[in-house]
Amino acid sequence: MTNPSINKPIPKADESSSEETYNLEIVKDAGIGYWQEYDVLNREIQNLINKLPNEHQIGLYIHSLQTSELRDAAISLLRHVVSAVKDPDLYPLSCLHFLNTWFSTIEGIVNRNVEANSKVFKKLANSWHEDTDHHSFAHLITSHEAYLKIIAMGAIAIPFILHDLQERGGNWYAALRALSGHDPVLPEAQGDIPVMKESWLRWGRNNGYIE
Amino acid sequence: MNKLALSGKIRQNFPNLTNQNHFITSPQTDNYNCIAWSFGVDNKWLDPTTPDSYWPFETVSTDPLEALVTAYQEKGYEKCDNPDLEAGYSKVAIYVGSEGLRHVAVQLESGNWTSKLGGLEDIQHETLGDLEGKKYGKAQILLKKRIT
Repeated sequence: MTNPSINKPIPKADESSSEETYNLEIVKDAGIGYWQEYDVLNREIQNLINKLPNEHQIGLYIHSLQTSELRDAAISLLRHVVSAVKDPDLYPLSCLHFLNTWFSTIEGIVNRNVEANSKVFKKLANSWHEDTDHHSFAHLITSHEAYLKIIAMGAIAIPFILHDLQERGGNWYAALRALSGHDPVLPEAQGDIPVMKESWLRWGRNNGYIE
Repeated sequence: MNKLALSGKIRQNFPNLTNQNHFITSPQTDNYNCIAWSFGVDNKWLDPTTPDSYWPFETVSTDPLEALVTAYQEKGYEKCDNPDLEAGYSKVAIYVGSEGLRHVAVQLESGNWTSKLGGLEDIQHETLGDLEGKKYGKAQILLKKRIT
């Protein structure tokens, strides 16, 4: 695209002529083709950025991956970052393409894990509810074999527990404390089940375990 | 007693319950449990076995059964020998199983009993034996308190 710029020379003091003269100079810019390409590129970059996972999804990935999978994923990411740093041509589109591909792979693993773990959790939780929902005492409820197996699943069980707490209730508090290392329930709220539930659900939302 | 009864699935845990000897008296909720219900509380979970619970009594014991009996005594209950209806008295029955404390039922003015089944419903049942079995053990400790 041509972009005519008009340079008006400054009249000299002794110039009596009232006729102003203009010096037209044609300045060439990068051309419409460049700007079109730039626009397409920008849109592609924005599109790729939009596809990147949000805070909640990243939290879910971290909580849903096995330790070995997290390690492999981190190594793969680091390798690419190192090669990208050495080659500036990789920025920014290639980096974004890589990140999206990388997250898609992670998402695939996570979905498979979530599905498999969800089945395991549901079976254990059903058995626990069936055997202990009629009990009133923690020593009977939290020593059930299925409850202990759920704790043994590790932090990946936290989102499932929080969903179950929301939907079916039950004394999940000891398991949540054991798995998270936190206790968001204030001492004065002990025994007040609706407040205890909401404290844990809020903690879960704030920490990316549930939406 | 032919009102709404517990579902078959839940009743599997209590083989002595029949459609004729019990009915449901509240929706399912885990906002309170059998001990809370026995003290007339329906918005707290009372349990001497866990820090997750509300325990407003002075006596704290490492033995949950002892802690509970002492709590009732703090509130004016004394041990008694039988579950029969006695005019002027309110009675509670503590169920004990192989792992100790299991359940508490409260006698009504009619002589029937009311039980909050953990995080499930409240039920009214005719006798203490209706809930005895593998899950709740036996109603072994009885306490009474003068109400008039």
